[in-house]
Amino acid sequence: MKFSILREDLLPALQTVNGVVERRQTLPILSNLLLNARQDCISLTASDMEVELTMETENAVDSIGEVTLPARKLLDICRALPDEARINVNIVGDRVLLTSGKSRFTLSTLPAQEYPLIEINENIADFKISQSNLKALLDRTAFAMAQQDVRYYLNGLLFELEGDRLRAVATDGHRLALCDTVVKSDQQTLIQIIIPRKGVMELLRLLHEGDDDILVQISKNHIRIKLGLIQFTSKLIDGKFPDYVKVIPAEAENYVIADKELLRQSLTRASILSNEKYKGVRIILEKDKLRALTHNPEQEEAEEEIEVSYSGEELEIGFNVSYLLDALSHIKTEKVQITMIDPSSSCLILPDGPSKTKYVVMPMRL
Amino acid sequence: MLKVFPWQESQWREIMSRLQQDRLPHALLLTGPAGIGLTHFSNCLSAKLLCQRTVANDFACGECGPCILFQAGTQPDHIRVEAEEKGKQIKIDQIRSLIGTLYLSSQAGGYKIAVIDPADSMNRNAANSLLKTLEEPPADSLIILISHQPSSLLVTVRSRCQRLNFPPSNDALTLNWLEQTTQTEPAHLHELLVIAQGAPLKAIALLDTDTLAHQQTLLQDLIELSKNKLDPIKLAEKWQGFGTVEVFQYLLIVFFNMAKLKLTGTGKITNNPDITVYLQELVNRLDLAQLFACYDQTLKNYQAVTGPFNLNKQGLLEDIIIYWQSILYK
Repeated sequence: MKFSILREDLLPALQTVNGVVERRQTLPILSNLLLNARQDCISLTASDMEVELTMETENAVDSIGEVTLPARKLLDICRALPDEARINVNIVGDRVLLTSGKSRFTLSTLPAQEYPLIEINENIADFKISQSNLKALLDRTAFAMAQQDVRYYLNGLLFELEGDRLRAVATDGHRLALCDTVVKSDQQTLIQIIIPRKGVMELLRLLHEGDDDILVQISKNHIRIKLGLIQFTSKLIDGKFPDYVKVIPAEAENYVIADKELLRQSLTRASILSNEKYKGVRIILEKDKLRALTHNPEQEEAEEEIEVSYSGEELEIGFNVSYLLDALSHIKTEKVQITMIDPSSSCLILPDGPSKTKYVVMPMRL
Repeated sequence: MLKVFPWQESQWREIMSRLQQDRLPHALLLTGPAGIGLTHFSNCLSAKLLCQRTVANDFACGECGPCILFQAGTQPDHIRVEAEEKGKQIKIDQIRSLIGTLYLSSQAGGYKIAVIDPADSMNRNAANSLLKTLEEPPADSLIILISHQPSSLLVTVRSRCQRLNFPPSNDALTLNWLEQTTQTEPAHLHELLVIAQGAPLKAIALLDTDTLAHQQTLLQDLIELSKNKLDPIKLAEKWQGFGTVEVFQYLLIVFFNMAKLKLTGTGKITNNPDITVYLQELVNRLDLAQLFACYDQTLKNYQAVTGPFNLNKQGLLEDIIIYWQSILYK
């Protein structure tokens, strides 16, 4: 393997894939990058056995080959070289020689065939989606994923593909976030996969605003997303997501319409004096009025009152205020519509107007 | 190609026949003395299950992609959990991360294999956190527990696994293998294998150490104690240099064989004819109850040394020397 590349061409790829490399590694090869030089193309791959990231860079290649070399050190060297430096890469025996101007670096390597690369044999579905749509979909739901729950299937995000509708659902058992979007697909049967938390977070880091279409491929064990020169692959969670449809309350006739920002701000203020552990807030609904009451073990109290539009019965419900705030801060519209039925039923929070996003928060007994 | 050791053939055949009938358990407990090659067996089985070339009873091919990764130790579907440092415990975080990995889909789409080696070094919290997954692991996964002291595992862990036992092996087949592997003379190997209590790999490890010489000295000291009253404190200091655990292990074998000699009139403790004469004299001098009492006392001290508390080793050695003297000069 031999090629020469400009620092500015190599650095973006190195910085992108290095995010996956964990600092503490049990397997030495996972702290390495797989460097593959093909005809006019160089690709770098990093993996932590859960998420794999590959980025390609177009560049002339003198002789092809592949090898793995220390990720962190390679990045540090490239970063420290001067702007516009030209880096020559050459394999000498079982070492890689990097030269640039008068600088020389010899890096240790491990054989490329020992690198645990994900190979996908058969796709069960694929679809195309615009980058900004996918980003919005993840942004609006990912926050509700569980973290290190024993119900392992909750530690991820459900992707449900049916026809041209892609639905993302996340829940931690106390609240749920759901969002729909339209994709280009000819998938007929329903497909459900769960993307692990780590993969979702990594994907969010990679996605940017943009109308370009990206290709998503789903296989039995993996999801692979092609984002321009980047290829993202993640394992899936091996399990069945709970039946989320049952927990979403029907839209009732009596609902609250509130100014989202006003509500969010007053709840934020009220939350200061809520119990730090349970975060309870008492919501009292009266005609065209919503009151939020909190108190903490030190007997300090907060009371907030805002004007809303509501014509139903008087109602008093307890909630975890941080779940309400999470949902509100992911709603983009000016007004929100909140349906509360009784103190033992979940509430449904929707953006005002036609929308494909739904948030459900379970009540708590105060 | 990864092949099991000759003394593991029957266990291998058993597992293979279960595999063919598609009745492989989801959790296997491999038990046997240290040095019988349990880790090796588990590697053979894991490699076989992950190998792409399926030849009925045969071992993993060693050439296909998954096999190359296996040999390099980078096989993503083979997860090994061991203590972070030798002699330390396996902690709950390690088991939790293992469980997390097991619930992810496998990389190649086949088996996911988790190996906990040795399972008895899991601390109580770690073992308890494994229970739910051990009872009902995700599909296509196999959990292999390796244990040299299955009795020290939680009952709830043991009952969730199918056990495959590897008894000590000192038959001709094993000796033959040892001879070919080490190119040492058979009589010597036989003695080593006796000292290693039928664990062939341990016998090989003994070959490179001064263990044999130490043990000769130990026997001579025991005999010397029967003639003259030696200073237990100085003697214990000397023995500590041989390794306290090893001394107790060997004393257990010596007292066991002396009792055997007394009962049956047959048995051999050492190849050294001079020492054998003296030992025979000692056996004649003591009665069976005294020999068993020595064995029990040694066992007690051995358990104290290997147990969870950090007891004074010098003291435990002095204790056994004084006990031996008290038996002799009653």
